[in-house]
Amino acid sequence: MDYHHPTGRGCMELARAYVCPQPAYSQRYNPIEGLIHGTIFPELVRAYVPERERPVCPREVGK
Amino acid sequence: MRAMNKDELMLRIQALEFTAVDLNLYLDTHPCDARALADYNQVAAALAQTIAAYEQMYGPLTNFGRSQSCGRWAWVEQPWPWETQG
Repeated sequence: MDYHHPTGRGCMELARAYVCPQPAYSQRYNPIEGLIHGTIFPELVRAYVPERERPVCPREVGK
Repeated sequence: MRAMNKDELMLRIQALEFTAVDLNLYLDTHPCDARALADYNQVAAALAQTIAAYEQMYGPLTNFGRSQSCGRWAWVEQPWPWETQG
């Protein structure tokens, strides 16, 4: 849904949601490991990496 | 298997509840997945069993009629979440 900024800066899209197709259920973490990973599905684990520790994107090299 | 202490039981309850929620969400979009359904039922049974074991030893985890209080009214005698050790 578009959001109309009260100061009249035009139409701003706040976010766009999408759902990744999830593979068929084949394996899961045990309950304790699931709690630690934030999901019981190994294929959905995407650990947060702070920005300063992320590898440099090739497009940014040389900037 | 040795008996779990209070903190271990609580961690087990939290972990089983999390697994049940994740399986619940998966089943919302895959209601015909028999394996996930079997796992959900197994986790739900283990969760109920663990909650019962905890409540028998340490008192009710919920109030307003969702847990029984044996012998005395134990709900107000338990530590609040901010009073438990990290």
